Amino acid sequence: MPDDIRRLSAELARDPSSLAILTLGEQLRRSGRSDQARAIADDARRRHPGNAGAHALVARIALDRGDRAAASAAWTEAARLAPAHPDAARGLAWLTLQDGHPEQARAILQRACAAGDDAGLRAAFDRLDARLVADAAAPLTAPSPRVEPPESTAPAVEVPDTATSGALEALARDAHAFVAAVGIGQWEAAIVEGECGLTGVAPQPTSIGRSAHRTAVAAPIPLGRFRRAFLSTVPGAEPPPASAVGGP
Amino acid sequence: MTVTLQHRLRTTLREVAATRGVFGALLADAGDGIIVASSLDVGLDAEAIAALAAALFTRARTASAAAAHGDALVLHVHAEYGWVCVTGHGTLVLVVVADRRAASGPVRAAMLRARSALADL
Repeated sequence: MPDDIRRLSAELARDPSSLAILTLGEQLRRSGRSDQARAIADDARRRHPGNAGAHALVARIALDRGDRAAASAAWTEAARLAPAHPDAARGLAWLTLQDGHPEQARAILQRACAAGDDAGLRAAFDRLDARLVADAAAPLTAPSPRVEPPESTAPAVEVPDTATSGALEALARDAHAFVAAVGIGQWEAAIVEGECGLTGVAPQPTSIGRSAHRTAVAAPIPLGRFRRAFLSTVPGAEPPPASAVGGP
Repeated sequence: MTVTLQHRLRTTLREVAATRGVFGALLADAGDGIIVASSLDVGLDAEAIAALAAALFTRARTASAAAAHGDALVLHVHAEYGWVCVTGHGTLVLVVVADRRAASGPVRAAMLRARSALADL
């Protein structure tokens, strides 16, 4: 990857208008050089304001940094420029779903599917649609619908299967009692760090006032990253400041 | 429990509790939740915490296994005014209560070191 970055940087130096700037930004992002990635993405957006990919890159980097508002704005602009842009549609749908608006998320995917012909987007729409039908039958027992975040957006927290959700529900009940015994206010999340992955559960009030829980699983990624991603999906739960997050 | 073992448990506990941002720590029997050693502040109900921690960590192990993530290493419970880490090995469960703003890296590292120490006991 460093070779790719060097090659792309050289290409960009030769031709500042090259679209290699988008690949370079993504490579920097994937290599964890967030500040440089953001600078390149901002530059890409200035140089190519009509390119949806430039806005999508800005959105992915913003989401990595926990700036959901900036990610949403950039994906919205990408979708305006290219209504069938898969990354923009998935990104907006994912954010909308995490905000607790599955019907709106479905509408976003449906519009993008109608505007283009992307198999991955169609599969995401079908999955969400099927999940919403199931939720309508059992609104408080079925797990939340799943829409994958845009392909290259990390970290990917996913909705666990039924067995894991059940185990996490039991953990949530005990966590609630435990935190009350310790006397540190309301519990916000419980995250299990396993040998080869992470699982999390957090309280989530519903629109009809009954308590439910949001759950997530992820492959082994840094704990702090998982925590930020997971807590950012829980309404009312503020992730700790980045400076307080260490992780492995 | 021998004096040597008690000493080693207390040493393990002291090392974790000395980590920046940690309010206190306790060791409990994983089976019955009875306190083995504690450095928790006086204001905290150590007995209740010990009793609940053992059951809580069992829940965490079940969830981790259900997700095919192997055994649970550490459980992190975040709350409004603090966060709690629980780990366990063999017949012991270790609980750490920390400031919400404490850096998780050092606390987590201390927990994992303590977990290894428990395994060696």
